[in-house]
Amino acid sequence: MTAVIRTSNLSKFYGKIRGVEDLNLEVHAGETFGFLGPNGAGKSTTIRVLLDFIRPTAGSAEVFGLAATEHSVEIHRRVGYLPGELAMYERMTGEELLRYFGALRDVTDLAEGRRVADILDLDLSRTIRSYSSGNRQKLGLAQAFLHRPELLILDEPTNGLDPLIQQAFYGLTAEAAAEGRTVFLSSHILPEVERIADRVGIIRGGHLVTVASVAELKAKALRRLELRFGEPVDATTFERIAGVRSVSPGDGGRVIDLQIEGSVDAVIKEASRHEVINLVSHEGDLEEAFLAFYSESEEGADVR
Amino acid sequence: MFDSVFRKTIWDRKSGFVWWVVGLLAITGVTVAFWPTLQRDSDALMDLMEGLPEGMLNLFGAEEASAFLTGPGFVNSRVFASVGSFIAIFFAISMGTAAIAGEEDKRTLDLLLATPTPRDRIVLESFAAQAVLTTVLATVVWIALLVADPLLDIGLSVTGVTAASIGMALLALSFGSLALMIGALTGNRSLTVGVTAGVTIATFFINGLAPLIDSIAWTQKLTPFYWLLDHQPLVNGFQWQPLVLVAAIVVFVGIALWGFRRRDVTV
Repeated sequence: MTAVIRTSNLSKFYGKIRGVEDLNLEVHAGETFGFLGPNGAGKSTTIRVLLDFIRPTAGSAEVFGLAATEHSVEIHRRVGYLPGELAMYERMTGEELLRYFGALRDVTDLAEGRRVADILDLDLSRTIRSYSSGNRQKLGLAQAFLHRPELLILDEPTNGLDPLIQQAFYGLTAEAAAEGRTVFLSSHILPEVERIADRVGIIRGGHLVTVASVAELKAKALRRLELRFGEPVDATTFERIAGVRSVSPGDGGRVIDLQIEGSVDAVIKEASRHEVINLVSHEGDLEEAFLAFYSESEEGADVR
Repeated sequence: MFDSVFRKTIWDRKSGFVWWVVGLLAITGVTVAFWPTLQRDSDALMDLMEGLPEGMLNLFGAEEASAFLTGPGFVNSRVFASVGSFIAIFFAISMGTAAIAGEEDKRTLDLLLATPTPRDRIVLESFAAQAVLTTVLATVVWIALLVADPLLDIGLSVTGVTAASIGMALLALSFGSLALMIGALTGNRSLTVGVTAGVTIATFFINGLAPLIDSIAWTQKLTPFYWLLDHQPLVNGFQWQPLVLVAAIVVFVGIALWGFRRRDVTV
């Protein structure tokens, strides 16, 4: 498979502050790649190097096989970009903004931008000044899709979008993927990435912790299960089950909080031998997913 | 209006620009309107002027008190050697600052840079917009003075007014391109405004006052004001000295191109 994005030992320091360090990342043509990490992990730094807004301290980055520092104009022509810190010209209307960025890309037909705005339910005739943060985000997306780029680089694309619009956005990325275009999106929300990405790269403290397919990630993700029983239960029986990472009993043994890696099947079967009054399952959140990976890659993960 | 950085930059000024024009017209208009009165009471005024210290006269663009009492001398001191030029200068500084430092400060630069527009072109088109609008301001003064001259019998020459108006534009663009340069190098809006405005005021006073002190008189030659105002274009017409300002503008824009090309753009 051809790599649309490739970084080789990419490091970026801002003075002494680390942005990213020794990052080796490869995104294949046609895939949707989720770049996952908490705020400040280095996601935006990586993206800004790809677009040549900032220059690497060491290592290199290529987009479409072109060196980011040498061929930024050609790369920009073929990339649609949504910044993480989105700001636009306040006095323009949505339509005018599309016309301006369209013109700078030699795109005079704004049909695609209007279509995306329509799908996301955005009124392009109003001035940007009057937009809510959600509307600004929608316009940012319309602008990124405008020239039907072969690579979409979207930094935290669902920021500020309400759940219904998020669904519409997932539809747009699915559509782009179906057309064979590449989507590279950053996020700090695990379920979102699970939902739309083929592969996921997890970054933390400037280091790429792991790259995995979503299926692998799901298998590894920690889930939290809270069980409430009719009578006190011996917590130690749960500790012996494979995959259970932690067990914390409460309320005199009537409540048990579990962290489980992978399938919860064995835990449910064990629990069903007792009277179960309630069961609450928490979607494994990102921090917990990270923990699952750190326990394996502790050495490289968070030094310095 | 939205097909290039150049035209968009001009569009940005659609509501504000008229006030700069009004300001310049006002100072020009008030100045020439006072001329007939001044001429009538010239004796009293002469006494007053001669009482002023030499430095004060210098600051207002006159070598000696009597210069104020000629039409061109009076217009020069009020429009070209002080308030009028300052309006044009601060307009150019505002354009030079808005270009890169302003966009970086407002965080709109990311989206602009993500388009296939080379960084050089952003600098050059921003400067072109600044040059065009500053030239419009100078043209407004040019027209106003040429219209007023025969009506009020000021005694201006077309050559002098033309040379002085072009000089005003060059003077303004010297500081405007300095702002563009500092913005391109640092991306810091308040630093750009602060330094450029400070340099403007400082060089204005150096040009006026340094000649009074022999040991630092040479510093006058470091100021853009010297290369224009000390040669009285309104009286003497075209000379070579204002070309020094053209050279300064070329150098500042050149450094802006070089600096912006190699710099990280921050968020």
